[in-house]
Formats: sequence, structure tokens, C-alpha cells
Amino acid sequence: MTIDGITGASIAAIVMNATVMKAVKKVAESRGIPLQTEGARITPQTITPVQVPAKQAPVWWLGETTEPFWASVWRERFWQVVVLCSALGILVFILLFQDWLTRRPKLLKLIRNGYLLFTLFFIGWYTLAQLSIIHVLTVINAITHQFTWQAFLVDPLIFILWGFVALTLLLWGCGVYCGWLCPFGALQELIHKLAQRLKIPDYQFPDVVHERLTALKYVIFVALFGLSLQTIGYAARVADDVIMFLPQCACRVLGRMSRDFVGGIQHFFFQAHMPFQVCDQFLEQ
Amino acid sequence: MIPTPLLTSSGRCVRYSDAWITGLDITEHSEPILDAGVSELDLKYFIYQYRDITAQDRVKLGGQSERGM
Repeated sequence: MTIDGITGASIAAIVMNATVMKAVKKVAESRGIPLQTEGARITPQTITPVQVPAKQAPVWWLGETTEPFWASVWRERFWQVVVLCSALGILVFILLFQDWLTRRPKLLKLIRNGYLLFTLFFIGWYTLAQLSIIHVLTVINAITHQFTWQAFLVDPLIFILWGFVALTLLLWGCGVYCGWLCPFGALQELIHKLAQRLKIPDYQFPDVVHERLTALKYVIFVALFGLSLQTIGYAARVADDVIMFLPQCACRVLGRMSRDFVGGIQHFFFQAHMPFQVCDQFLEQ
Repeated sequence: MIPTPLLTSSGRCVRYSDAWITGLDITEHSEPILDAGVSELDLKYFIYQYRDITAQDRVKLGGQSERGM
């Protein structure tokens, strides 16, 4: 049987599927209904050419493996993990040799634009590894309730990125994430560069407005944090409502960007991952 | 015990002894991504697909996460 997944929540759908089928089997067993084992299928499956799947479904989709769920996901997304880790390695070199690089503005510009494109297309659109405030709240929630690594290992890229951000946060501050690895920030910067090239007039909010609104995000964060103590789900729903209402404010005003379409585009592409940024230092640098 | 085969909407023959799912309902969940990025209708559609699936079936998700697979 093949059923449709859920766009933007494929892992959640896999988990739901495994849960449902496990529960159904338990009920069947408790009622004494014999379950066929793999080898003893009564009706042999006839597969017409139309039904042959183009791509073999990964074994963890079936929810019938014995290894922990996250381990299968890591294996499945292994090459993505490799690409991301290499990119992070390159980034470390860029940061270590930044003095050398800043003396070569042309090369730096090339590297930076290339990296931003990578961040936008690979980290953002392809692997959907946009870190979100909800992840932070989930961790806090997990610590106060019951902490298991498993819940965080389910998405390898998010896990690695958070690890990297946690380390670089201590060494270089939040600029490393916001300025290099955030698909959201990359999109903003690339659009900004494109707009400059196309000579689209720029509107800058006065500093007074900007400063007031910068404070607003902390108010929103505290409110979300409070809600997350109740339930993460509720906080996520509110966060989404806030973003629904604030894509322009949060993204453009806080980031001093003023393109009409930025918020719209970002909301459209990153909706599932909640593009709520806590820090926007990279634009202030 | 009713041994009569039952023709379900998906056109397969199932019996009561197959332990088929008559329907699912989500009473509660705490998964943020399902709250934030996924509409109520998407969730309803997802669980609706389990109707007429039996405990013996191996269910796998479509090759892509879009509808219409």
C-alpha cells in the first residue's frame, strides 16, 4: 500500500505511519488475529509495470527496521551530511583566514556570493535546514521535561547546524550563522545585491523606528518562551501566526530591508520551517 | 465473526479477520511542525488514507511528499 506523505513534514508523516501501523498490529494481536509474516504471504503480490516504483523506497519508510529510527535517517541522508560538513569545514577556513581574504576583495566577493548561493539552495530549499526559534524552545522544553537525544537526531542537518552554531557562537558570535549559514539571511542579501544591480530604489527606515522594532523581537521571543513552557505545539502555532502577520516587519524592518517581495517570497518558501530570526547582526555589521 | 469478504472503496477484498482499519482520528499531538506548517486538512487527508488498510499491509509513503502519488 502506498499513501501520500505530507509536504513539508515528511519525517513527521513517517513517524505517524510507523505509530499507526504499530498500534494496528498491537490491536490485531490482542484480538487474536493472526498476522502474516513476511515469508508467508497468502496472496502473492502481482506488480504490473505501472505499479513498479521508480525509486526503491528506503527501508525506514516501512517502519519495520530494528535499528533506531534516527540512525536510518542518518544513513539515508548521509551524502547531505557529508556535503554540509565539508561546507562547514570550508567556512571555518574562511573565518580563520579572514584577514588574508579581506585584503583580496574580489576573491572574497566571489567566495561570499558562492557560499550564499549554496546556503540558499542547498541548506534552504533542498534540505530545508532552516534553524528556527522553535528548535530552541524545543530544546529548553526537553531539558525541563525529559531529555532524549533521539528527538534531536531525527533531522541530521538541523542537528549538525545547531552544533556548529553553538560552537561558533562562543568563538565568533551569532554573525557566523546569520551571515553565512542562514538561508533566510542569504536570500535577503542576494535579493538586496540583485536589487542594487537593477537599481531598484532603496527605502531605509529611520534609526528610531529600527531600534524600537529591534526591541520588539525580544518581547516576541519572551512571549513565545512563556508559551512554550505550556506546550511547544501552542507556541509553534502562535509563532506561525506572528510570522503570518510579521513577515514584512520581522524580516524587512528588523533587518533594515525594504523590498516588498522579500517577506512574501520567504514566507512562501520557508513557511514550514518558520523563518523567525532572533538575531540580525549580520546586516548591522 | 463474519467471514464474508468485504469490498472496500479501494477495491480490495478484506475480511474482518484481516483487521482492517475503519478510520483514524487525531485526538491530540504535540509535534510543532504539524502545528505550524501543515493545515488541519492535510492532516485529515493523511489519516483518511488509512481507511481499508489492514494490519497485514505494509504501508509506505509515496515516493514524493506531494499529493497524487
